[in-house]
Amino acid sequence: MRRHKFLGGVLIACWIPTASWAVAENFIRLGGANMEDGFGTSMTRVEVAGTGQSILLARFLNGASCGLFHITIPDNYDAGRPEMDLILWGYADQTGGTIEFTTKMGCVGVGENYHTVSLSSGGSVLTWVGPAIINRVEYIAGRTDTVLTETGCTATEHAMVEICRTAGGTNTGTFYLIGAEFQFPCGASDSCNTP
Amino acid sequence: MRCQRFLQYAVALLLGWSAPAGGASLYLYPLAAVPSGVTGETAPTITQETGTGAPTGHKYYVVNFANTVTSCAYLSTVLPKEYVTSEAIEPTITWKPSASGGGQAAVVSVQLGCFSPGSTVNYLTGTLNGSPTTGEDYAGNAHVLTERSPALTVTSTGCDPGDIAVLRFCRIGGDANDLFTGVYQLIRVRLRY
Repeated sequence: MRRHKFLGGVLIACWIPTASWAVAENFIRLGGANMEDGFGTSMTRVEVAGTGQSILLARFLNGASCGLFHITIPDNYDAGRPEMDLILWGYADQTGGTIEFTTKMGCVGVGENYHTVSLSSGGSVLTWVGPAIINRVEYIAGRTDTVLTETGCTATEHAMVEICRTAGGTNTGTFYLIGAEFQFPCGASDSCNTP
Repeated sequence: MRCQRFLQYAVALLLGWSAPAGGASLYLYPLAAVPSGVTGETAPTITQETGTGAPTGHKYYVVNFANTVTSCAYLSTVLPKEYVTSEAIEPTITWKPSASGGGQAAVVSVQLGCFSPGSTVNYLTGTLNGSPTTGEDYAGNAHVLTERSPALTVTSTGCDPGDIAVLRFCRIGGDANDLFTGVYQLIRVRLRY
């Protein structure tokens, strides 16, 4: 018991500076430059040059367009909890209104046909309130709880994640996707804590 | 950092759990591949394919390794700080036969090398560690993913955290055991460390 109390103190003392190691393999982060052509109308990878920086981004014009990320389901993914949180970073060149995104996902593993894999919907619509300042980088709706109900995904499988800007939003500007983060549930074991 | 290390030990003691050694993976995809320019080797092409699943028309990239010739590509990445010096790195290749062709096998060769920033090794002329491996046998079903770790473990002698790891991957299409008559298409490379 004494050891537990001691550990509790250690946990409190260490939690903030060490938070990142605890989920090392559950995050996949990709820059917008990694986005590939999607279905139908596609986003476009563009180089954006500012006065102090230049970067390759995925550009979504006003209207419907899609892009695709290819990722690998983490080794410690818990197939019993088919969910994935998605965070998008980006900015818009017009203020106000809303920008809406939908997501789809499909997984394909060894022994399955890669060419005919289908993507299923089920992710909630991400609605981002248009920015008050143009070109200011923001999260899209903060950390969303987008739950992708694709149930066929297992650890180490190849996954395609489609992200579409819909025509439903009211922001009239262009949206630039800087990057995306995919967060998966940990497995039942402590493997999530592997640094 | 000390606090973090201490916490890990403390949790391990409390729960009776020990962290597995290594066990993490790096993944590399077709757009990261660089076709070989080595004399005598055929440079594989990187093309975009259009899938037929729903919604119709999804796109994906592949690296095409032709039949009857030796074709190679290079992929590189940076080893993370968690990598343990000189620990073995095991590559796993995920690829698929293209729509055309028959036969049941393709022969591969995989090599790996590491280059440390600041070292005296010439990046352009440095040799890769490990030896080629041949004789891998893949099913020849069109578009069906196959995955195999080379029988010969690729060692990583000389690799350190932060090193640039270079993977050389070849199809030895002219090998007598390479029986698939069409193009094999690389989808993914996994480096488990």
